Amino acid sequence: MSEPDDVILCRCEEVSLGDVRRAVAEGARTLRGVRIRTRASMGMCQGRTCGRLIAQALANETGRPLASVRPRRVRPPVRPLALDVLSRRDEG
Amino acid sequence: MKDRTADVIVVGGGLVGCSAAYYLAREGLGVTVFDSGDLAEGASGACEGFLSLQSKPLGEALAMARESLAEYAALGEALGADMELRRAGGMTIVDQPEGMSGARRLCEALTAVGVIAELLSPREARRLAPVLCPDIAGAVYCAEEAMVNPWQVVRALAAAAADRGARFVRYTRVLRILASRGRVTGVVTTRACGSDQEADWSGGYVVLAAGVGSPALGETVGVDIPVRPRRGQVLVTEKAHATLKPFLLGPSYVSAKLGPPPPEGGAALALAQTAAGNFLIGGTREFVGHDLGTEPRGIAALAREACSLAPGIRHLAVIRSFAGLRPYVDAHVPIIERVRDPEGLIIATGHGGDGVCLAPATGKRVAALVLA
Repeated sequence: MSEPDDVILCRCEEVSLGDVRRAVAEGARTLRGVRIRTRASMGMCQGRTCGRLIAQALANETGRPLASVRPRRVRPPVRPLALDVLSRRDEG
Repeated sequence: MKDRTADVIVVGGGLVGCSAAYYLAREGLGVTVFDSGDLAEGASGACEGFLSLQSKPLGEALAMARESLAEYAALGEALGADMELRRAGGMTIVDQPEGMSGARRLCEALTAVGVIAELLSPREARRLAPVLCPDIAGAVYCAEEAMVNPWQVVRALAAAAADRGARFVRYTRVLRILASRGRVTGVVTTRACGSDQEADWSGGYVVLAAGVGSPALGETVGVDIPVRPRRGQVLVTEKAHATLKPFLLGPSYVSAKLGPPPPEGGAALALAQTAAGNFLIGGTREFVGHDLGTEPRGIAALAREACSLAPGIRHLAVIRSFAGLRPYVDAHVPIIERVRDPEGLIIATGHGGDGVCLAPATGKRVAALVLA
């Protein structure tokens, strides 16, 4: 990925490729490491749009195969749900 | 890495470990910090960032919390780092009229030791936090309480420690502590990058700040550390306009302090809006071993309590849940002590859900124990 730094990878949080590169330079080696340093994938879509792009950028910047980038843990709710809706769910 | 010696080895790169590393490095000691992952991958990376005074038992815990709060204000400037420290106060909600006399006593006890705490009427509480339910009995408000971003704290402390010569060896797990003739001599770790071979490191002191990983390591030198993992599930909502400035603690925080503990598995509500605009809603208190999962029952309980206490946010969407394993001790006061046998081993863990609140004072105490 030889794109310039200003390419936006995470639209929700406006994180650029340059931000990801800086995070790797600071020591990020995993998706989590990139996330906590840049907020990439912490927005509304929780990485559904940008996750693969971030993973590709990370693999590229750390010189590793894409398959070695461990995906983010899947957590409920798998799509956004309002608090009052969640408060009515007790099982499953 | 050829040089495997340090004055002080710190096991654990979370809030406590990085705080210890900073205060030790500031004293000119050569520090090496090990973390099995990046940094803050334990409870430090899965918490909410409240700096609460009124939830602390009076005495040592409260003193450490006050000291830490003052230190956070100074650290931001000293480290030139933005830890998202927001001093907008904290409020514990009293939901039943019967709770108000206990709340008044709490205010008096805090004020008597110099922590200004006010008893608010429902209207006064809602003026400070319009999202609150109108059917409350009142609130205990402490204006000097604050919030901070725990990851930014770890990052700033680690960077400052490194600037002062501390070495951080990440993705390297400490397997056991080494001791000889009643004195620690170092640790054994995996080699960096997770290969099978082990590496020996020498250190005059070992600071064990590994959170819920501490008991297993203490066992390697026959030291019993009574820490148990207690899971706290937390919800994250979408961002919203800045509407909640102080953080809110639910009624069970007050009753847990003044009366019997909350029922097993119950949620002790702690709710706040971060600098970024998301609401954090925590947390369950569950003994489930080392299970880091979040699940429908805990999520529903948190959502219910949040809607009940703060109906103003009930339409906000939850976008994520996470969980952290808090290093819980029955005594509700962290274990910060120099072990007798083996000499040179310092335990610094057992902070439960108060790691971020007590980290600076803990680091200072660890440095004092090493230099004593």
